[in-house]
This record gives sequence, structure tokens and C-alpha cells, in this order.
Amino acid sequence: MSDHFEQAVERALARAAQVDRSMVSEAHAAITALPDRRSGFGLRLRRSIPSLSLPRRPRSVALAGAALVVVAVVAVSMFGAPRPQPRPVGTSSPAASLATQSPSSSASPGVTPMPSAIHTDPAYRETLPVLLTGKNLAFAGWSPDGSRYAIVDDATDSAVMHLFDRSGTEIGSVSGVGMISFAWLDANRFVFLSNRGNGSGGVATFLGRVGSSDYMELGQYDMLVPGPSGAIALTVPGTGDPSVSTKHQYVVVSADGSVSKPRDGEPLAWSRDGTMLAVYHATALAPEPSGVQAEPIGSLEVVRSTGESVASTHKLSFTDPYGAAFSPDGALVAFLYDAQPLNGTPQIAILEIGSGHVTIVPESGPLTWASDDQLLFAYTSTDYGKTPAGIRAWSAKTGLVTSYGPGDTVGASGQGTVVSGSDTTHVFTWTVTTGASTRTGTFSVGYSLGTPTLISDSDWSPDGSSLVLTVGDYQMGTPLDAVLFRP
Amino acid sequence: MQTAMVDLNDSEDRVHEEGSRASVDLVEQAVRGDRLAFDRLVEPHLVVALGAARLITGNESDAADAVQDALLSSWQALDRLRDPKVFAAWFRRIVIRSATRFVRRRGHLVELNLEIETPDAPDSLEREFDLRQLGRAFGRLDQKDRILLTLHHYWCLPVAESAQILGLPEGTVRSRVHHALRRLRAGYDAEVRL
Repeated sequence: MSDHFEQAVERALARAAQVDRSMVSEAHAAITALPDRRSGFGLRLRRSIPSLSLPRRPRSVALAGAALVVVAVVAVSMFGAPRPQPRPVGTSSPAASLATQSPSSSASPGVTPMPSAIHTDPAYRETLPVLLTGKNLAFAGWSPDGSRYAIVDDATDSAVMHLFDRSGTEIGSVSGVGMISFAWLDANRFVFLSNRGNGSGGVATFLGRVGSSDYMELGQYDMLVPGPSGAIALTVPGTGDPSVSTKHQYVVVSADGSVSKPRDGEPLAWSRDGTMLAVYHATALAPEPSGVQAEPIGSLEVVRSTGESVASTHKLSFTDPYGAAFSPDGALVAFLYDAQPLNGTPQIAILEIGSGHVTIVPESGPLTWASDDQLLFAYTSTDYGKTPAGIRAWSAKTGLVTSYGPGDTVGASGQGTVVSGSDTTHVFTWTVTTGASTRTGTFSVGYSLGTPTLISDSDWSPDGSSLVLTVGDYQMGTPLDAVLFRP
Repeated sequence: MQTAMVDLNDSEDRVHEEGSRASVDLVEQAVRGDRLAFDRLVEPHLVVALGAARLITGNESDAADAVQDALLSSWQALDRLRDPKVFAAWFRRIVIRSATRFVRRRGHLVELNLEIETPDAPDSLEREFDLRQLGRAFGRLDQKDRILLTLHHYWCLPVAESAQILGLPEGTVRSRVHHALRRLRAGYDAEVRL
């Protein structure tokens, strides 16, 4: 992205953000009219009527889904020393599921000390194979059988989706006018959101096939929620606001390409086998004790792909759940939600599908399942850095949170492989656990080559053996590399 | 219409120039219920907050309501602010979330209509890029992209603070800003071709 363009963006936004002086005066007047603190009543000087008639546009989604987050790679170094593993913690009663270890309580039982340093062995390095280089690369997912994956390059006016087999050989490409998101239906067919390209300016959902330039339009949908097994949900335009009659709805695209009738709810995440879908139902408006804008609250429900309900958090309501992820065996689904809508403090909730029991973990961070009973997250401090960041682990067996290791980034295949590290130091550790044996190594780079390197997208293969990453210094506008990493 | 043009460095950095001690004192007074102290506390941030809310909500009415909600929220929640020295970042976070709620209530997929006035004598940058068309392209971005670019290219926040507001790792924020800019450029190029 050129410096001139970014300067123009800043200038355009500064102009577009100009506000009428009367708005500033009204804000000051509103402060004068503020209620006594904690009085329970708020005074708003003006209240506009939300417009529902504006034209709707599709919401683009991250192409790579929610696999690994961030990082940097160019060369890999390995060493044999096993990295510290989370120490099992003693058994606890179900009530202990609410317990959390303080990050500063290093002397507390159950907290594993962080390693003081991560070593790299410069004697053994290997260069990761570069699959593709381009200005605007993003990973677009593995096919459900793991035989293919796609990388999109939309540096030009027309996005190009490059298709690879698992060996890293390019087997074809798909062109679209502004491809927005993409998901595999099976090894040969895929669904994508794109501009129609016929001058209408509209965006639609299409079904395509490898080796064919003919695409079938499925309809107009907002967002695509891909599942690792090829299950796909598409959201129907809606507000999700229960105060109006336009609740979220979604459809499911089945293996034969047919589209289900709309169902109520906002799809969040698929289970690994594609048989279950986590769906959010906004059912009511939160009370307004402080006079603040009410927010929709509702429950998270797990439904089968055919629509039948499996479990729900119906006894607990949540505002705006996000980052949902099923455990590999599909027994648990973890998600983040805003615990305090006033200041947006996020927390983790875990729904046990068999019992409907919900565990609240009063911490937050992007979620990834390392195994059926271990949830990892890169701890996100809500106190502006006073609490140090780090990777933490929640155990389904004990209900406790322990320190897992240093860093701000973690991604797990769910099948024994975990990558974690720091986006600041550019040093990352990978651990592969197979039965009782563990292999560990590190990869680093970026600064060692003179330029910082970051990962922009990544995704594990369905069998957890391979990780495709797009890396490079995208802030400098230099080309990105898509690389294949097999720990 | 009389408008307020923001110089971010002049307005928000003034808090630092006046010293964090003063803002800490104002927070403590406001916690005790002093509205005047609260007014002085938020005053350096108001115009920028309204501008950011306008970029996210797309219209002045919602922006005004969102900021007034944010004022009320922060007033009510002041005693939960653990470190008074970080009031500015805390307030920004509340403003962004308030504006986001307005968009969400209205329906998150809206095409915004941001009016940009251009000068009679454009400089070289404005000859290279039509800011009105750039504004239209921005208005067609989705909510997440608008928030990211508002934080990064309007509020000019460090990546670390944007990551705090959005609850994302810093690397993810950098990546998403990059992709949001890319989509904005694609939208702008499409505008120019029309």
C-alpha cells in the first residue's frame, strides 16, 4: 500500500470525521445533565431513530478462519530439549470450574513457571518452502480431505485464488472480481462470496468447481462460516436485534450444493466433524439500569446440521459471543463474550454439550483447543498492560487455569501440535505430542534477516500435520510469501 | 455548517503536556461526583471521539448519541477504572464500543454516506486521490474494517492500544489493518472506474 494512499486515507477520514460544533456543545450539555453517579437513571439529550432502510452490504470475513494466530517465519531451527508442559493439577469439584490462577501467583499450586528463555540452535536451520509470493496473499482454507488448499492473491483488480495439492504443487486457479471469502465444500467444489462483476455492484454467493470457470449463484448472503469438514453456513441479512422483527437467520449448504431453508440464529462455528453448529440467538434486550443503550442478549445454542437442538446456555444470557471453538471431540464449545457491556471486559465461557453446564473463566484471549480437554488462549490483559501477557491453559479435567508459557500468540491443531510464541521477539516454539513422546523445536526469524516478518494468515491441515502460513512485512508493502510448515 | 476539524496531536496529546497528575486529580474529583471535573477530563477527547463515532456510525445523529452514551457509561463506571492515568485509552475504548453498538442495533451491513468537502485548490495529494471517492469507498467497507481504519488512520492509535480495544493480538491487528486498507484501495479503484 503506497504511502501516498495511506496519507490520502488519513486526510479523507479527518475530513469525513468533521462534526458540527453543536454536537460538541450538546455533549458538554449532556455532561452537565449527567445523573448522580450510581443513581440508576440516565439522561440522554437526544435520541435518533435507527434507520433500517439503508442498503446492506456483505460483511467480509477472515479468509483463513480461526486457526493459528499471527507470527513470523522464514527459517526454522530445531532442538531436542522438550519444552515445559502444563503440570497436571489436582482434582477439584465442579465448583472449582470458576477458579482461576492469578498470573502473578507463581508460587501457587498448579502454576507452571515460565521458561526463562527460548533457545534456538543456529547449527540446524532449514528454509520453509515458499509456495507463492505476492503483494496481497491470504490463506483460504484446506479442503475437507486435506488434499488441497487455496491461497488468494487480490493485489490486482480481479482476485485470483491459487489452488495447491498437499505437496505444494499449484494445480489451478480461480478468478473473481473482488473475492471476499471462500470455503471448500469438498475436494473439487467450493463456495465463495464475490462481487457479481456485472456492473450491478452487488455481492452474491457462488458455487464453483475446480477446473471450471462457470459459477452458479446461490443467492445473496452476508457472511460465510466454513467448517473443517466442508459444512458451510451462510447468514441471511438481518439485524439480530430482537426489538425489531429481523432476527439473524442462516442457511446451510449441504454436500450436494443444495441450500437449506433459513433458520433462526447467527452461526458462529462448526464442530470438527461438521455435524454440529454453534448458533447465537439474541432473544431480548438487556435492561438499562444506567440508562445506557440497551444491547441484545441471548443464548448460545448447539444445533445439528439438520437444525435440531443439542444443547443451549438457556439459563445464562450473553451479549455478543465471538471466537467460538468446539473441542476436537465436539464435547465442549468455548467462546468469548462481553462480561461487562459498559467497558467491554471479555470473558471465556465453556458450554458442556452433554450436560448443558456452563463454566465461566474470568480471563480472555483468542481461543484454541490443544486437545479434547485443554483450551489454550493468549491472555489479553484488560488492565492496559499491568498484568503481563502470556499463554494460559484451561483444563476441562480440573477446571483450573494455569500458565502454559510465554508469548502473545498461540495456535493448536487439536491433534497434538501447538505453536506458541511472541509476535514481539519473533521466536516461536512448536510441540508435537504423539502418545507419550514429545518433539519440540523453535522457529524464529524476521529480524535476523534484517526485516521484521509477521504472519498474516495461517491454517492447519485437517490431520494436523501441516500448517500453511502467509508471512512478510506487509506494513512495508513488500511481497508476502506463503510457506508450508510441517513440524 | 460550522464544523470542527481535529488536530489529533494538538487535542489528545494536550493531556500529556498538562501532566498525568492533573488528569488523575480530575478522575478522583469526578469519581466523587464532580461533573465539572468530568467535563474537563473528557474535553480534550470530545471532538475526536465524535469524529470517530461519526466514521463508525456514518451519521452525526448516531455519533452524537453514541458519544453521549459513552459519556454516561464512563461517568457511571469511573470507579472501575483501575489506573486513572489511562483514562484516555479507557474512554476511547468505551466510545468505540458504544458506536459499535449503534451500528449493530441498526443493522451492521449499512452503506455509509460520508460527505467530504474538498478545497478549491487541491494539493498534489488531492490531485492524486479524490478524497470524496475515497470517503465513499470507506463508507462501503464493513463495520470491522471501518473500526480498524478509524483506530489506525484517524485516531492514529498505537497497535498495542488498538489490540486492547479489539481484544486481538497485535500481529492480528497489523494484518487486519493491512487487509482493510487493501479492500479500501480496491473499493476506491472501483469508484474511480465508474
